[in-house]
Amino acid sequence: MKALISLPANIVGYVIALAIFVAGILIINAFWYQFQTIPLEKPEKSTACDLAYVISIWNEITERPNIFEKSKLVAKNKQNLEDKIFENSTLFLPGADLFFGIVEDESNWNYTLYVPSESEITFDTCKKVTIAPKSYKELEKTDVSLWTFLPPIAMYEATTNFIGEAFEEAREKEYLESVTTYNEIFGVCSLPAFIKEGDEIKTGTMVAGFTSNVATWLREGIYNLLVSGEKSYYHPLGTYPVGCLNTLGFEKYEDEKPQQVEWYQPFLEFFISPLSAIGWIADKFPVIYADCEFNWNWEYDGNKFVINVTPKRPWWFLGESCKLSTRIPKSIVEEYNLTSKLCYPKRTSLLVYAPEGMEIFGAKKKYFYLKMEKLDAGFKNEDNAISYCKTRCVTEGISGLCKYWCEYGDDIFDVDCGSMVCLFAQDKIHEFYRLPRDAIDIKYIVVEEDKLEEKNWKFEDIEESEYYKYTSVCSSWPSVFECESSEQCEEGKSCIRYGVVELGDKKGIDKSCGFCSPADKDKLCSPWYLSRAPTVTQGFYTCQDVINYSAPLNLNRFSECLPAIKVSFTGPNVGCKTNPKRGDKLESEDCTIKILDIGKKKLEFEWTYYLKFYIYHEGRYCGEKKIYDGETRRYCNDGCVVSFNYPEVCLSATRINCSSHSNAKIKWKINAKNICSRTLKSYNPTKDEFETYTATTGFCPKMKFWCNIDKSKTYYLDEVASGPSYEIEIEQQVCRGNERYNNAEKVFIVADLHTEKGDMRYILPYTEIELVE
Amino acid sequence: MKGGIFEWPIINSILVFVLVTIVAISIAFYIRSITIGQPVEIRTYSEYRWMNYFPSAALFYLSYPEENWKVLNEIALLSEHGIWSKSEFVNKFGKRYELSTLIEYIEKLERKLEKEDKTVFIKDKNGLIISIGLPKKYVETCGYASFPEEYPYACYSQNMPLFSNTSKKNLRIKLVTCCQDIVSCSDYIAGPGRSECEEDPCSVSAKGCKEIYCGNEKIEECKGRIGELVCVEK
Repeated sequence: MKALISLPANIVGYVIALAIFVAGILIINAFWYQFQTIPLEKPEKSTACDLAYVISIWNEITERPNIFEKSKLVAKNKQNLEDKIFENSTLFLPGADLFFGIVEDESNWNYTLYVPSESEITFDTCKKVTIAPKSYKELEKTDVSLWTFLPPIAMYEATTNFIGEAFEEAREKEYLESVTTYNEIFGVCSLPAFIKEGDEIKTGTMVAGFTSNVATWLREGIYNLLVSGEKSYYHPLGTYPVGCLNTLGFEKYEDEKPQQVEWYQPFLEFFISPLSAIGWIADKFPVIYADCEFNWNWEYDGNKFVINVTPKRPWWFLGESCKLSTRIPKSIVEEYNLTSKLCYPKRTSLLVYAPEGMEIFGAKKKYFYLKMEKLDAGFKNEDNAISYCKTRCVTEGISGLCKYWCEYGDDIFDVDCGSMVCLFAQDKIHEFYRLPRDAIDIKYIVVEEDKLEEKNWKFEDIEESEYYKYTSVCSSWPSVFECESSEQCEEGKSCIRYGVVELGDKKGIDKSCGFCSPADKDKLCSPWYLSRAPTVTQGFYTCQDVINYSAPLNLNRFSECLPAIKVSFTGPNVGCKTNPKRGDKLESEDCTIKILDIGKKKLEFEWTYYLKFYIYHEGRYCGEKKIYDGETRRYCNDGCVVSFNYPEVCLSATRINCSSHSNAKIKWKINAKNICSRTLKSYNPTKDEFETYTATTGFCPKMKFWCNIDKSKTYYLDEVASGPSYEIEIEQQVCRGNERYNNAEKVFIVADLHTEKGDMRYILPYTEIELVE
Repeated sequence: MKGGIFEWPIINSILVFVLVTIVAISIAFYIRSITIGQPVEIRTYSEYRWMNYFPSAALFYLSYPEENWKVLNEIALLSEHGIWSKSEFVNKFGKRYELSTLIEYIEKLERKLEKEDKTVFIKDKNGLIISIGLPKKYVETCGYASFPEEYPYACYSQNMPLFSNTSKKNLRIKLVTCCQDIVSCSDYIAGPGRSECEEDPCSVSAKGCKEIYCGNEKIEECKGRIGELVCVEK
C-alpha cells in the first residue's frame, strides 16, 4: 500500500492519460457504425433523382408539382424535350444515358423519355437475351463435334434487367454480367407520382435512371480526353464482350496458340480429296475461337453527333441487330472540334483462342479492354512519326514491307518511293505531323490473365508489347483527309496532300496536290498547320527544306510549308551589281555567275565557275538557273548565294575565311513585307488621283529571329518591333581578329515560328555561313 | 541502447498504443454488437430529399378535387379534437360532409404506399393532420406532436396552410407519411440487439413477425441470405 501511494507523479499522470485514451477509443468505436452510415451515394443516383424532380415540377407537363397531366405529356414533342434536356442540361453524365418513365398503376399506360433519344434503341432491340443457339451452360459442357454443321455460337446481348429476368438463378446472372458487356441499367430512382386525366387523378410511379454500354463508354472516353484533358482512358469489356462469336477451328495438339483454320476447310478438302482430308483431320483437334468484332461508327449531320456500336451476328441469325447508340452534346462537338479529332471508324476483329468458358489446353483467360488515348500520349519517343507509321502498318494489315519503309523516316522522300506500300508509309508519316496533337485513337485490346496479375490487375500499367492482341479501330482522321480537288489545296484546307505550284511562268495549281518534299523545294504552298491559312496562289508560303533547330544534337532536315521570308546578307565576299547587262559576270572569292537574261521580275544566269574549294563541283551547273525578283536562292549545301532584287543582283559566298577577313561582320536582312503588308490604292476625289497606302494582309506569321552565336538579341516580326516595312536587320561579328568568333564553325539565323499546333524552330534558309580560319 | 530497440521509449509508446487500440476496438465492437446490433443503413441523400418532397406532392394530390379541398378546409376549422382511424373518421364526419372522393383518393394513396388501412386523422387546434403508415396505437400512446424520423418510422411531413377569415390564426393541413420502407416483416433489420422484428412497430403484419436463422434457401426471404438472421411473418 505504501508503495502504491508513493508512486511517482509522472506514473499517475501516465495512467490517467492512458485511461483517457482508452475511453476515447471506446467512444469512437461505439459510434463507429454511425460514422459508417454516412450516406455514400453514387452521383448517378442522385442525378437521376434530380432529373425526376426537375421533370416533376416542370409546368409544361404538370398540373401541380408531381401531378403530371396526361394530355400534356402525350401532346409534348418528345424529341424537343429530349434535346432540351440533353443539350442544355447540367445533368449530363458522359458515361451514361438517362431515361425517364411514368407508369400508371391502374392501367398499362406509360410514358417514356430517353435522353438522348438515340439511346432508346438499346431498349428496343437489345432488351431480349440473345444466347443462341445454346445457353452458356450448355456451352460450358459442349462436346465439340467435328461434324457440327454450324459452329457453336455464344452471343450475350441484353439489358441487365432482362438478363435478370431470363435467369432465375442469381449465379447465372452474375456469371453473364461478369463475362460480357451489356446494356446496364443503374442508379434507378423510383418514386410515387400522380397522373391527371380529365378530372381524375391516378397514382403511378415515376422512374429515372441511367444506362451504360459500349457506346456510352466511347463517349466517356472522348469526354475524358477532350474536355477533362486526360491523356488516356480505358474501360474493361469483360472476357466475352458483345460482338464475339465462337467459331470452330482444327489444330494440332502441341500448338499452344494455333493459327486459325476456317471450320469449312476440312469439308472443302474432303470433297476435293477425301483421303487427304481424313489425314488432315486425324492429327488435329477441334478448338474453339472467339471471333470478336468491334464495329462502331459515328455520324454528324451538323446538328447531332451520334455514336453507334453494332455487335456482330452470325450470318444465319435472323433477329434484329442489337445496335447500341448514343449522342454527344453539340456544344462539346463544336467547342472541342470533335469532328477533326475523332478518327473515322474501322470495322475490325480479333481472333481469340480458347475464349470464355472454352479454356482448354491450359490456355490463359483473356480480358478485353477498350482504350482511348491522344496520339501524342501514345507516341512519346523521338521517333514518334516512325513509331506511328509502324503501328498503322500493323493495325491496318500492311505489315512487313510497310514497316521497312517506315524505317526510312524522313529519308523516305529521298528514296524511290513508287510502290503503293511505300506511298502508304509516306502518307502515314505525313499524316502524323498533320494530325491534331489531341487527336483520339481507339484501340480494342485483349490481355491475358497472367499479365494482369503481374501488374496487380492494373491494366494501365501493361505495356503495348505485352498485349495478347490489339488493334486500332480507327482508319484515318477527318483532319487529314486527302484533298478531293485542287481547289481544296488552293483554299489551304488541312488535307493530307496540299497544293504546290511551280514558280514563275508556270504558275498554277499542281494537279498532284502533293506534300512538301525535298523535290518541291521553293514551290508555293498553303500551310496545313494554320486554321486560317493563306491560299497557295497568294504566294505567302513556300516548301522549304530546312534544318530543325530544336534538336541541336540530332539535327534533322525536314520539308515543310513555311513563310516565304526573303533573306539577304552583306559582308565580306559579297559582290553586287546594279542593272547588270546580259553577258555580265559577277565574281566572288568562291564562285562566278554569268547573266544570261534579266528582266524586272526574272533573272536568268549560269554558274561559270563553282566552288573553287571543291574540285568535284567544278564545271557543274548546280541548281536552277532562274530566280525571281526579291528572291534569294541557294545551290547545293555549300557554296554561293545569288540574290535578285531588281535592279540589283548580288553574289555572296557562304564561306568566310577569317584569316583574310579580320573582324568580319555579317548583316542579314530579313524581309517579310510581301507576307505581312500589301499596298493598296484608293481614289482621292479632292486631289482627283489614286493614293497608295499599306494594309496588313492578316497572314503575318508570328516569328522571332536570332543569330545562333548571340541568343541575347531576339528580333520579333510584327508591326511594332519590325516597323511597317517588316524588315529586320541582324548584324553579327563573325570573326574576332583572324579567328572564328566564339570558335563557331557556322553562323546562321534561327527562326522560331509560332503556330496553333506547336512551335517550329529551324535554321532560316540562305542564312548559313561557314567560318574558316 | 544496450537492451536493444525495446528500450527505446518511442518503440515502447508505439507498442502500447497499438495494443491498447486493438483491445479497445475489440471491446467496443463486442459491446456494440450485444447492445445495439448491426448498423442501420440510412437512406441515401437523394431519397431523403424525395421523402420530404413526397408529402407535399401527396397533399397536392389529395386537395386537387374541389370537393376534397372544401371538406378538408371545413374539418380543419372545426373546434373538435380527436384521433380517428379512417373508418372512425367516416363514421364521425360522413353524415355531415361528402367524404367519398376524399376517402377514394386516400385509399389510392394507401395502396400506392402499400399502407392499406394505416391512415389516421388527427384534429388538433392547428387544423387537420393526415398520417399514413404510422399505427394508430402509436399516435394515441406517444402523442402526435412529433412524428419520429428515426428508424423504422422515418416520418416525413409537409403542411399546407389554410387562410380563413373565421379563424383567428392561420391553420394548416398536414400530411405525414411514415414507415414507407417497411411494408412487410422482411423489411425489418434482424440481428443481435435488434427488437424491431419481434415488436413490429409499423404494424405490417396482423400475425406478427419473428426472427429466423437462414440455413437454406427454402424460405423466400432466405434467398441469397444463407447464414443470416432474417425477419419473417409468424
